[in-house]
Amino acid sequence: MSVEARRDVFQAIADPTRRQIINLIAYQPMNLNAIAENFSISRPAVSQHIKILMECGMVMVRQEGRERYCEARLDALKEVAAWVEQYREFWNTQFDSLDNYLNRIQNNHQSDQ
Amino acid sequence: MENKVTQKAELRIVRQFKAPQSLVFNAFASKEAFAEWWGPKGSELTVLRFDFREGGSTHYKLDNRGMLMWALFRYQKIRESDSIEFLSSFTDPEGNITSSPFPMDFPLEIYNHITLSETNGITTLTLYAEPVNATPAQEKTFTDLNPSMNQGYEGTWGQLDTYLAKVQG
Repeated sequence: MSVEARRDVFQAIADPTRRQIINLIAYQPMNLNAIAENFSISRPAVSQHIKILMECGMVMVRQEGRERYCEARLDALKEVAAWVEQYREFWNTQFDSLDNYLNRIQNNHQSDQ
Repeated sequence: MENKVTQKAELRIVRQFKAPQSLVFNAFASKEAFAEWWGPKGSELTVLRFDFREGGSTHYKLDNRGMLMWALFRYQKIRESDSIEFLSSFTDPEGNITSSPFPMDFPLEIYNHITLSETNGITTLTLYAEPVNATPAQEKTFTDLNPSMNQGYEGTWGQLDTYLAKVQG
C-alpha cells in the first residue's frame, strides 16, 4: 500500500508554509531564491516544500534563461473545493438519517409509556 | 499577503437534534444504534467490526445495489457524551486503507471531530473534518534536516535543481 508515497493537492495544502508559498506565487511566478527570501526557515526546507508542491501538481517550474521560475497551478485547488462539497453533502445526509432515527426511537419510547 | 488563494481543506457542520445529548452520543457509541441509522439511503450496511473506544476501530461494508464499498473508523479520542475524534477512510474487504472508489480525488484519510452539547433538550452537534496529512514520515525528513543535508544549502539547492531538471524531462 502506497500511503507513504501519497502526493495530492490535499497534502500540498496541509502545511501552512506550503500554503504561503502558493499564495506568494499565485499571481506572479518567482524564482527559488526570491521565494526563500520570504521565509525564516532554511532554504533547504523551502526547497523541500517546493519539491512536494511540484509532486502534488500545485507548482510548475519554467526555465527562463538561467533562471527557473516557480508557477502556481491553481486548477488543482478545484479538487479541494469539490472534496469539501462532497464530504459536506455526505455528512448532511448522515445527519438527516440520524435525525430520523432519533425521532423514531423517542416516539417509540413515548408510546411504550 | 493580501490575496489568499489557498486555504486549508476543512469542513464544519453544525446541526441541532431534538434529543438528549446522551442519546445522540449513543447513536455513535452503540453498535445496535449505529447500525440503525448509518449509511447512505438505499445502501445496505453491514457492520463487520465495532469497537468504540480509544484505539479501537469500526469496519463496515456498504452495498449499494451491488456496488460494494468498505470503510473504516479509527477512534482516537473519546470523551463520554461530549466528544468523538476519529479517522475515516475507505478500505479493501480486509480493512486495509485504500484510495476512494470514486473517480474524483479524495483524501486517503479524514480526521473527524464530533462535539456535542445540550440546552433545553436540544443537542447541538458540531462536526469538524479535514484531510489527514498521510505522510508524517516524509514531513519529518525535511523538518528535522539531518546533518548530511545540512552541509550547506548549496548542496540541497543543487539537488533540487537536478530534480527539477529531471522532472521537466
